[in-house]
Amino acid sequence: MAENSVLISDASMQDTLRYILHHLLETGEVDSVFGLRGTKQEGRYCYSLISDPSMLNEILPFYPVMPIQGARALSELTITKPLDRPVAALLRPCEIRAFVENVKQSQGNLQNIFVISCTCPGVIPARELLTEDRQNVLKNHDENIRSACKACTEFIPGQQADMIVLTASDKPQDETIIYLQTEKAAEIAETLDSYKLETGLPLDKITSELLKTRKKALEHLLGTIPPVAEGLQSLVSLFSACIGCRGCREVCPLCSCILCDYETARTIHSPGLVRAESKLRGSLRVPSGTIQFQLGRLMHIAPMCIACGQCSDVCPVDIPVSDIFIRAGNLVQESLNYHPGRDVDDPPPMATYLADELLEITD
Amino acid sequence: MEIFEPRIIGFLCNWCSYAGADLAGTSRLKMPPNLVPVKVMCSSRVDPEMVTDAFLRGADGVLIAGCHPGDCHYDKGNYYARRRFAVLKKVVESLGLEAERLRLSWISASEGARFQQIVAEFTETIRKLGPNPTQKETLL
Ligand code: SF4
Ligand code: SF4
Ligand code: FES
Repeated sequence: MAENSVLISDASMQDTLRYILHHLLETGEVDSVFGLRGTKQEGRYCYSLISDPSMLNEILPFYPVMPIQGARALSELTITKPLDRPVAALLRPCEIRAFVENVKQSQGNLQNIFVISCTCPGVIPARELLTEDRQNVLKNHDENIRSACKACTEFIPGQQADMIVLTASDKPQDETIIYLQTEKAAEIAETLDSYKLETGLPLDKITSELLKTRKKALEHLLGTIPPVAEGLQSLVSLFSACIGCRGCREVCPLCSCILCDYETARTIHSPGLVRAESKLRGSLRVPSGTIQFQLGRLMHIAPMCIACGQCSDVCPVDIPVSDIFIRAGNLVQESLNYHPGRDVDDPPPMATYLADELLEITD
Repeated sequence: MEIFEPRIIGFLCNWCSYAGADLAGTSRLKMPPNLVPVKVMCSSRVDPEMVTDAFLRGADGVLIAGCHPGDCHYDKGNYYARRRFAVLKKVVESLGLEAERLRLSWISASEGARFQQIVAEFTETIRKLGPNPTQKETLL
């Protein structure tokens, strides 16, 4: 298949994708479609597995919201066995990366998933779309996306994507352009006679300005200004608001343990301990274990955090959870030389090592 | 003025560092009394959570000590321990907490003198840093 082959359509992105998905379902090329769907109530969205072609008019391809992290849903669909019939899945780049990590941990399987992704413009926190101000929020999309999205430099999907829709690029496009990344995608495109096939420009060339902007935002996030949690005092005051709902853990696509360590007697502070610590300190917030929970989750997830921002999206008390995870993730992944979500064949970071690495942190 | 006596938790691998500590003792090497040893069967037994738990509950420093790379009794436990320590250290750094309070050292069974030297050195480092501020926190 030729490099940078693209399919070009005069119709809108939504209509083009609905048409393609319809075609795939009707011809039996795929058995179902997985993607974001609107609900009867304005401002509310959900992921769905759609098998009836007539329901495809509810699908909202790459509408700027992520009600749950797509990898979580796909993991649920493939955790016990691979899909036996092909499913077309509309996924953003960070959802693909998270799913690749799931696959490595036997929490999912990529077999029979036809991945349609996009150069990602980012998503808006779900609750912003529930406000009366929704139209304004959507209009000022770039200002209102998640802080994780603003600082996301990996907005071009990786090798797992079969098709990539050009949704974010340096210049606005008046046509819908879809990159055909695999033989399968090219074959399908051949059967769609209503569109032109051409050779497009390399994706990194037409998104280089965007990358610059995102890089700047990332540097800002990683830098000390504004400090996310600089030092014990600020960490403690940040998490003093935590209500312990564990929402951040529930929605994280990488927090996939069936029984979290922090629900076990091993880590829950015993009444005796709480009283002893309170005596030592003069006072102790109850329930205790808030900071320990976050530190524990950081140590488990930072090596693999794919920086989706889902955890911040759900935190009811506006703790910038993902900013904290992205900062830690950056440092940890750099020191372990690990790129989460890049390749299912990269060994999981905590199950591998090099004999002569990390010499600077030991003696 | 009262001199600050740090409390340091030492997770020592049974096969190397704990034996090294023993040797330092039987050789009657003088050592600061600040390290509280906890014997583990391998440096890789130390879950980073055990370290953050000690840290949040007021330990002024935490030392993990195991066999030299290549010498782990279980072949490669210390290589995994080193990766876990990297995660721990970087997470702590990313939060602006004091990563200097954490140390991973390789000490073999025959290195009694090295054990003594590391404990003395680490105690001094921690003494300079002062008491762990988590002792005063009322939110864990
Ligand atoms: S989502 Fe927010 S409030 Fe809930 S446990 Fe996580 S940090 Fe705490
Ligand atoms: S920690 Fe937060 S940003 Fe990182 S993968 Fe989990 S939900 Fe996404
Ligand atoms: S047995 Fe000593 S580090 Fe593994």
